[in-house]
Amino acid sequence: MNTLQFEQYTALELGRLIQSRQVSSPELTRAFLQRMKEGASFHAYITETAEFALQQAEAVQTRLDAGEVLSPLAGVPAAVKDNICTKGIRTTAGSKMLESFVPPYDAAVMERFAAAGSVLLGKTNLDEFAMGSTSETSYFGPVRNPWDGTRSPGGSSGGSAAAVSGGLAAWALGSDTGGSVRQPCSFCNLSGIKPTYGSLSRYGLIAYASSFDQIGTMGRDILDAAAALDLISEKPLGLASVYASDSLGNIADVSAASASAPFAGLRIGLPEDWLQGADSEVKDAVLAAAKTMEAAGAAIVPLHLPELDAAVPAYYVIACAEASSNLARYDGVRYGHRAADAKDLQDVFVTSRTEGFGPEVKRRILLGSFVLSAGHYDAYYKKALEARCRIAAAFDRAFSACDCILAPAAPTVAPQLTGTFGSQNTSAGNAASRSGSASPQDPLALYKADLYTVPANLAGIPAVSVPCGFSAEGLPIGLQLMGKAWSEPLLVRTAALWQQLTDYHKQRPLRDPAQRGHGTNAEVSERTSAAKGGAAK
Amino acid sequence: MHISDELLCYLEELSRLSLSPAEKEAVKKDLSDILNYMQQLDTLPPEAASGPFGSTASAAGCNATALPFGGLAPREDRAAEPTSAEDLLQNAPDREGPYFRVPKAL
Repeated sequence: MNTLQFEQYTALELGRLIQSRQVSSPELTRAFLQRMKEGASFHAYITETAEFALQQAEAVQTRLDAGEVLSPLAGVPAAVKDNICTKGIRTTAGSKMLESFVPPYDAAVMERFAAAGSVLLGKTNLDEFAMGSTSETSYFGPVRNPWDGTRSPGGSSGGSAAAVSGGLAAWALGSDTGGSVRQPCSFCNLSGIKPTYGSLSRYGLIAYASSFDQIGTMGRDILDAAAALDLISEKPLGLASVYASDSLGNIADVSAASASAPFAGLRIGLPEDWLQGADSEVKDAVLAAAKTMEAAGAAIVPLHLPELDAAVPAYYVIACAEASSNLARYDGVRYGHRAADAKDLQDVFVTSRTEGFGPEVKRRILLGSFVLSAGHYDAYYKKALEARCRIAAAFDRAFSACDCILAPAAPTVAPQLTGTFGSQNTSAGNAASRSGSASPQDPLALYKADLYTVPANLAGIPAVSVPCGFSAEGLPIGLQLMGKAWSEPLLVRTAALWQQLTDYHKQRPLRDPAQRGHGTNAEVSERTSAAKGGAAK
Repeated sequence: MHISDELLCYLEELSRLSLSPAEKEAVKKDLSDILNYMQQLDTLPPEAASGPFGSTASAAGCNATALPFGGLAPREDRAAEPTSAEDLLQNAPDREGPYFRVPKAL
């Protein structure tokens, strides 16, 4: 197998090649490390761990050669979002605040990752503290979408998405607080799972908004994402029967289901009003998917969910409140950035935080302080909690009428990189982003674009995102399936059947992104190189 | 929601942040826009709106102080080796022996 071929395989296929000794884990790891060099311009990784990866690959190969039975993904190289703590490996959360932070412990999922024989290629770029949806708020500079180098891969797990999409990792871990796994999957033609809130330990995931934060998985197809999720889960979620079996069977175990009607017995909720918030290309692709599923035997159940109109404001009130509280720990005393010439202890706190956090993080801390402050708590925070309850109750009612809900994962395809957030944390960068008349993106507009992903986080329910088409410009469009708590097996099986019917997920970005205008945007190129210079790796 | 200079100063104090004059102007506008948008939460009806599942279900069962999902049993406690003080101090911006060092508090 040469280095060109491995990108054609899914992670599970690579795992089988390793199991059958057609390739060794060290060979495969070297091939991915080579590809990471070729794809460096995506800026998917903040920290690459080549030496560690090769050590892990040798170790897992020894275990496999000794006959040890490991995960189906054992020895397959993966990437991990840089807000998940890795013992002895720098973990930055995309922030100057943690630029040189080396965790003295592994996140719970990383213990599972190692025990299962996974190979860590590196830590992926992300929006600062996972606060953003374009991977442009990263202190280390923006990530480029392998489908079009002038566009964002989405966020906040944009580095993980670009890595898997660009062939720089076989699968990846992300985190999903308000859609940060599902939306980048949609923008990069990947499949991702945000499991039920609390299904995976949050220990070692750098906290943003704790009542939403959820680690999730990203892969080239839904079976890869499911196998990866199983690998890091403490308790089986019942997914092995889907990804490890030759036949997916039918979803609802209804005898009427057959090869020609694999979706028979499945009730898919379709909130058509809600779909009006998406661009027409996205809406059309999702409605076409509903038609395809209906033709394959599914019953389409019309839904009306007006409660979801409050999702974005409720989410941002609660997320910012929790962020302001969680990020209070960064005080410049025990770890993280410390201002060089603080005159007293108060000054250590204020100046370290002022220097260490970027504009979006500051904005959310200030907002959180506001909504929690006396006099505003009832009008904002309490109202948001009530809206959250209403949304959860609306989902409960919906799931008595349908098995899962179909929606877009994002209202648009991947947006152009804007430069709004680039080169932040410098006075020049701030001035540029504020005075630049060239499409300075307004934060509220970005918040509003989270309308399809935040409801699942508010209600704590699982959701998957899978490819469902391409725009006229050839950019990926994703659909989302949401289910009730702990319905991951149903969602994964439904998505897997969808991927048996379609081949959108098999499309890959052009290997040479220059053909899609990569590097033609002088402003972005300049910003990336400036940011790289400042990254001080 | 208008963000006055005084209010922004108060929020900076609560947040332990200090904004430059240029940042202040931008943040005042952003916060004001975002909070105006969030005010739509105030207009929510007291009862859940009606839908195909009937209007009888209300938000009355919601406890606004609890998370909206059930079935999440806390993980069992388990004993673990604590991280050593020396390991924790490796990330200290400044230290003296086994202590974190900071400028004078008073």
